[in-house]
This record gives sequence, structure tokens and C-alpha cells, in this order.
Amino acid sequence: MANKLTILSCSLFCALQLGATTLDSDTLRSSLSKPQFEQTLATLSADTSDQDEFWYWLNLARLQQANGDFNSSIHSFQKSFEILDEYENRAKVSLRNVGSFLGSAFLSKGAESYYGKGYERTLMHTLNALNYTMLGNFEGAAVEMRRMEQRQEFWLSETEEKIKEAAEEKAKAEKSGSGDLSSMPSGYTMASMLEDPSVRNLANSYQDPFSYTLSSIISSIAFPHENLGEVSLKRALTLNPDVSKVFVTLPPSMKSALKSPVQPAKGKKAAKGKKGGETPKIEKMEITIVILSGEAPSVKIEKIRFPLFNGANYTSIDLPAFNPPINDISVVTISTEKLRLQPPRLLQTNAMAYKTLKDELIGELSKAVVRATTKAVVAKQASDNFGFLGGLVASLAMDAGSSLADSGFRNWELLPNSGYLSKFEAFKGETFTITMNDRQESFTLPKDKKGVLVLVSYLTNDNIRIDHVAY
Amino acid sequence: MTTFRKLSLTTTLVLSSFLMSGCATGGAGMVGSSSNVKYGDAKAAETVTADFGSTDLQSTAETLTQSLLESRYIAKAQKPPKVRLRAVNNLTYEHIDTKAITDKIRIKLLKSGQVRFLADTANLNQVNSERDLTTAATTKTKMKAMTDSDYIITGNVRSIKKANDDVKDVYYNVSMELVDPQSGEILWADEKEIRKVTAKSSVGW
Repeated sequence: MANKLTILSCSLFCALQLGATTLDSDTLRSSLSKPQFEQTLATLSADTSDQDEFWYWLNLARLQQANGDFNSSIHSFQKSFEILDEYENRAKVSLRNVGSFLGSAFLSKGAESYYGKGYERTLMHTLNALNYTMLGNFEGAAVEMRRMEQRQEFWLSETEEKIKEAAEEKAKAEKSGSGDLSSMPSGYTMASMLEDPSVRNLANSYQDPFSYTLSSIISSIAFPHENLGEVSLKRALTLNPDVSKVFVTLPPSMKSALKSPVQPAKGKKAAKGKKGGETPKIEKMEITIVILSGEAPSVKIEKIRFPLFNGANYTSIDLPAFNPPINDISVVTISTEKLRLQPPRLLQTNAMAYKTLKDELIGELSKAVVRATTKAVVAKQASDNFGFLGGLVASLAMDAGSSLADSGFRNWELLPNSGYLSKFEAFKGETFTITMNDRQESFTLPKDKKGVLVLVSYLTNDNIRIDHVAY
Repeated sequence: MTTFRKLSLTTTLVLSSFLMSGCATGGAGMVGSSSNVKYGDAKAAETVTADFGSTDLQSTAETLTQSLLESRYIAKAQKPPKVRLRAVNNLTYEHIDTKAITDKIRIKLLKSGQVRFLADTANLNQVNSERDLTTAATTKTKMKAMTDSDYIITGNVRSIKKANDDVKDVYYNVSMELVDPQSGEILWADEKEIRKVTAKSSVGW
């Protein structure tokens, strides 16, 4: 009886633990290698504490996709879409938005709920389109790509508004003589990263040539008789001229060889319906390879602490910053019998993340100054009323409180950091290899299809999955 | 004492059966009446969201079927023509089950008795497999009869979405065409337009 009770209580405890387990950002990102992956996915799926968070469903969706569970991934993306849709359709004066704004303006950046930046909102549709594609539902994939394009249009106006606001803030600060907000605070670790040429040269923070190119490819598969993808391709080329390297055809010499008459082998009877000298059907097919690799920068709140004029009290400027991307690859090579390709890195999530931060930094800085001032005033009051120790305790308490709130401020930490695309021609039935850093994977093409789309999910160097769909 | 115990037992049994019946059934032939599920009018206008819904499906099928049946190629045909209904392309921003549209139109057209339908391309392979099993029906003539249609119906669903801080506007356009497969000539075409507008409330949670 005692044994049964022990087993029962243990099971209950385990079940409660499993339900309550939350993977923090660092644990999640460091548990993606092959031996840990299954457990990580199971723990994340069982986590019920963050199911109202936009980033939770996005993280889960990426893992499910990398596990080949495309239906579950679609479901998770749908959940994140619903959360975003609810947020975007809130009342003009929403009490939740007002509360969140006040909390983030005066107390902590972590008081804000995270609803994703422009690039995350658009890539949510791009990755979901790949789920539909892998299930052979190209029309569904095209719907997701249309949503992606529409969201980018929406984000265009929203970003313009934010840039306008930032310029106004800057002008106001200059007028009032309260300092130059565009200059980075000393000690801010992102300062040099945000000035990197790869970030400065981006057209904007939300449009990516990877999504537009993929959109054009999916449209051409879903609706082969209509040129629906032309506009997307033009947009992609405008954003990055390397898009032209995505499309590779067989050399002309190979094409003429393919079209030349095929004589039946000596001593063998010609196949029924095919006479010697008849032009055979061209035995080539189109291959699209999509490689999603690594994990994008994860957001964190960085505190720059500085002492106040008197006593031991201090305050801090807290600004959003990023942990660097992880597990990414630097070079991809695809080799077929006749071609050797190096597809361009069209998706550069880290650059888009840094560009977004750079665009929003002035607004963030002005909010951070208000928060720091609030904390300083409280610490000063405590110091005046309770002496040296009171000021220190108040500073420490506010620091600890805001750090606790900030720890829950997370982004789509498992968003791929890089995306490579290649569309080329190959012979039916041939085997090609994909080399990613030092890893080499092979894939044999089917013999009876017009084309194949291959999705390579590269989570870590030892956790790579290759899925494909033929059409 | 015995009478008292019997009375207690009877009362308990009656109460239990009453409670159990209350949980399980709410009357003759009705299960789960305590839940919030209710039957509604299938034809009633549905305005839960601005997405393509049941009312749009019904009105689209109704309008386009009526228009097609009134066209001279169907209304004045000597005998009911053989028609193949192709899949309607979804070119919107939503995951619309366009097969629901074609199924509804097919049912309405078949019920009119003015057209005959051939299996669509997706079902044709299954039909062929069935035919292969029956040796009696494998003549080339019959095979040809199964694949030749007098007309093909094709269609598209498109949408335009616009939104600002106050209003969200969605416009749907469902268009269909009757095509002569021999000449490629479009013999009939019509469309159904739907506009849905949702406004954001001023103050809310």
C-alpha cells in the first residue's frame, strides 16, 4: 500500500513538474543537438505556462518543422497567428495596451508583451508556407506567401511611422538640450554591431529577399500557367542582386545532348511506341533546395548601471540587446553530376534584427531614460527618508524586480538565422550532395516527377533533417 | 426500523436515478442537453468573423449556379451536356476549402437535371481503377466517353484586403467560366462579389 502511494505521488509530482517545466531561453537554445532534441521538443510541447505568448508557439513550430511534423507545425503557427491577429485587432484604446505601455515606460521593458518584430511576423508565414509545401499543398503555401507579402506592406507603413516618431524624438531632445539620443550609451554592447556595414546597407528591417524569392518559386509550382510570382521576384532582385544566382539551368551543351536522338542498344528491340531516331522526352527535372540553418539572435535586456550623485543608491538604463546567433553555417555547396553551386545566403535574420533595433533605438532610449529617472527618484526618496542603507535597498529591490520582469521578455529564439535557396536543373534519378560546413548530405532524385522541393532543416551540426516533396 | 431502512434505500435509489438521468439525457431522444450546443439555421447569415464563411459559400453557389443554368449553352441544349468541374483556384489570403464551393455547385447543377457531370481529374484515377476491375467496361469507346466532356467549368476566388486604424475591409470575388475544351472558347462567365467590413471598437480590453 505504501509502495502504491509512493508511486502515485511520484507520478503526480512528475506530471506536475512536466506541466510546469519552462525552458528558459539559454536552456532551449543549448538543447537542440540530436541526443537532447526529442526531450526538448517534448518539454516544450508540454509547457502550459507560456501558451499565451507569441514567441512560444513560434519556437514550438520551428522545432516541429525540424522534426518533420508539418501538421503540428501548421497548428502552432496558426496559434501564433491568432495571438497576433487578436493583438492587431484590439480596440483603439485597449486597456491592456495602455497598461503595457505604462509598465514599460516607468517600470521595466519586460512589462511589455512581445508580439514580434516585422521580420518575425513575415517569416512566420514564410516558414508556414514550407509546411504546406512539404505536405504537397502548394495552393495553401501560396496563401501563406500572400499573407507574408501583405504583412510586409502593412509593416512598411508601421515602420515609417516609427522612424518618423524617432526623428521627432530626436528633434525634441535636441531642441530641449537634453542630449543627443542618437548616440549610443557608453557600455552598450550592441553599439558596434548596429553600425556594421551589413546592417547599415539593408534597405529596411523587414523585407527579405529570401521570402520573396521563395514566394515566386511556390507560385510557379502552384499556378504553373500564370505568372503570379513575377512581381515577388522583381522585389527580391531589388533587395539583393544575388537572387539571380538562385536560378541555374543546365549548360547548353548538356541540353543539346539531351535532345539528341537516342538509338536503341545493339541487339535490343526498340521499346514499343518508340522508334530508333525518335526524339525522347527530356529527362531533366527542376530542383529547389531550401536550407534553413542556425538560430537567430535572442533578445535580452541589457542594464547599464551607474551611481547616483550621493549615497550608495544607483539606477540603470535598460535597453534591449541580442545574444548572438548560434549553430549557423558559413558556406553551402551543392554538387550534381554537371553542376557545382554555391547558393547565396538570402535570409540574414541577424542583420534584420540588428537593423530593427537600430531603427527603434532612439525610442527605446527615451523610454529607458524615463525608467532610469523613475528609479532614481524612488531611490533618492528612500535615501532621504531612511538614510544611506535605505537608498541602497531601494535601488537593489528595483533592480531585482525589473530583472525578474525582463527575464520573461523573449523573442522567436529558434527562428532560423540563415536561409539559402537554389533552383536548378538536374537529371531524373541522379544523386546530388549538399555540403554544409563540414557536413555532407546526399539526396537521390525520383525518376517519374517534374520537380522536387527539398527542405533542409539544420538545427545544429549533428541535428540535420532533409524532407522533400515531389510534384 | 426495517421500514425506515427500506424507505431510505428507496429514496436514495429514486434520487440517484433522477440525478443520473438528468446528467445523461434531457428528454426523449436527446443526449447532452446540459451543454451549450444548439442547432442553428444553416441558412442564417454568419458574421462571426470577416473570413470567408458559410453564408458566402451558400450565396456564391446560389448565384453562380442560377446564372449558369440560365446561359443558353445549358438552358437551350438539346440534351444535358457533359461537364467537368475543375478545382477553383484559391488566390486569397485565407485557407479556403474551395472544394466546398465546387461540391455545392455540382450538387445544385445535378439537382437541376440540366447537366451531366464527369468525375473530376482527382477522382478520375480512382474511377479508372474501378473500371480496370470490371472486364466488361474496358472498351476504348467507353473510356473515351468517360474522358470527353462537352464543357469545362473553371474558377478563381480572389480577395483584396485593406485596413487602417479604424476599419478592415475585405473584398471577395468568385468568378467562374464555362469553356469549350475543343476550341478553348469561353462560353459563359460570371462572378459573385462579396464585401465585408469590420470596425474596431473605440475602447475595450
